[in-house]
Amino acid sequence: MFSRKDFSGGFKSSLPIVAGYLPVGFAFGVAAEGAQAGTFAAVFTSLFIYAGASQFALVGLLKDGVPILSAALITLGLNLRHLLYGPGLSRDTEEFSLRERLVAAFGLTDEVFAVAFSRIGKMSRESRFWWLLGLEFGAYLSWFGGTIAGSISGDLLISHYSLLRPALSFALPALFLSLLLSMLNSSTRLAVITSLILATAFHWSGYSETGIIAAALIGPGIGIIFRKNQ
Amino acid sequence: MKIDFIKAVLLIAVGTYLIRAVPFVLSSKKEGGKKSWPQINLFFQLMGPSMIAALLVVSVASPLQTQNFSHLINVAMGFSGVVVSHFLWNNSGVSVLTGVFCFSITLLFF
Repeated sequence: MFSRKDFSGGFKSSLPIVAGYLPVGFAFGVAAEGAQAGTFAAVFTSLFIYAGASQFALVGLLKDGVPILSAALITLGLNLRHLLYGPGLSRDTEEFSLRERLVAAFGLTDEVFAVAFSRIGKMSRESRFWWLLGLEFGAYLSWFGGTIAGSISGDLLISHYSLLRPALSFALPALFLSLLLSMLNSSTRLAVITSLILATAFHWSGYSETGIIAAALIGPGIGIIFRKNQ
Repeated sequence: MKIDFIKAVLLIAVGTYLIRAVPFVLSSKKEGGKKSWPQINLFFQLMGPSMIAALLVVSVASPLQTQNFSHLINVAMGFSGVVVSHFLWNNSGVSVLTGVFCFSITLLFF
C-alpha cells in the first residue's frame, strides 16, 4: 500500500543526487543540441534510456557517423555494470514482490544504487519499497528536467549565437573526461591506460568502433591479470 | 533517420531495463544474492571506465585529425577547465559546463 511518508522520505534522500543530476542532465541537453540531435531526441533519450554516460555515448557515436545498430550495442555495453546493482540490493529487499522489483529496477542508476545501498538496510522492511521509489523518482525527475532545460537553453543559445555551436560540440569530450576522472583510482588506472592506448591505435587506423569494443574487453582483462599478479 | 533513432533508443531502453531488472529479479531467488563471482564483478566494474576512455579518444580525436594547431590549444584549455573543476567541485555537470566555457573563451583568441 502506498505510503506517502516513506515516498517523501525517499524523495528527500534524493536531494544529493538531484544536485548532481541537474547539471549533468543540463549538460546532456546542451551536448545533444551541440551534436545537432535536437530537443526531441535529447528529451526522448532521457525519458526512456535514463542512463547518463550511455546517453552521451549514443549522441557522440551517432554524431561521428557510427551505424545505429553498432552505436546501440556499444551503448548497451556501457550499461553492463548495472547487472551488479540488483544483486547488490537483494539482501535488503528480500520482501519485495516480483512486481515491486520490476518497477524499482527501472531507476537503478549508479548514484541511486550508491545511496540505496548505504541507507535502505537501516529502514524498516515495510518502508523500503516506497522509500526506494521516492529516491528513484526524485533522481529521474531531476535528470529529465535538467535535460529539457539544457536542450531548450542550448537550442536558444545556438539560434541566437551561431558561433556557440563549435563550443557546445566540446561538451561530449568534456563529459567523457569528467566521468573518467571520477572513476579513476588505483584499481581502474591500468585498465583505463590500456584502453586509451588501444582506442587511439584503432582510431588512427580508421577502426574506431572496433577500438571501443577492444578497449571494453582487453582493458578490464589486463586490469584483472595485473591485480592477480600483485 | 528519425525513425531509426527512435528504434535505437527504444532498443537501448529495453536492453538497459533488462540489464537492471533481470539480475534484481533472479537474485531474490538466490538466498539474497549472497553468492558472488569476484572476477566477473571486477570485469564489469572495469568495463565502464575502459569504454569511457575509448569514447573519450573517439570524441576528441576526430577534430584533432582534421583541424589545425589552434584547435589543439582550444581542446587543451577545455580539458584543463574540466580537470580543475573536477578537483574543485567533483560534479560532472559543473565540470562539463566549465570545460565548455574555457573552450569557448579560447575560441575567441585562437
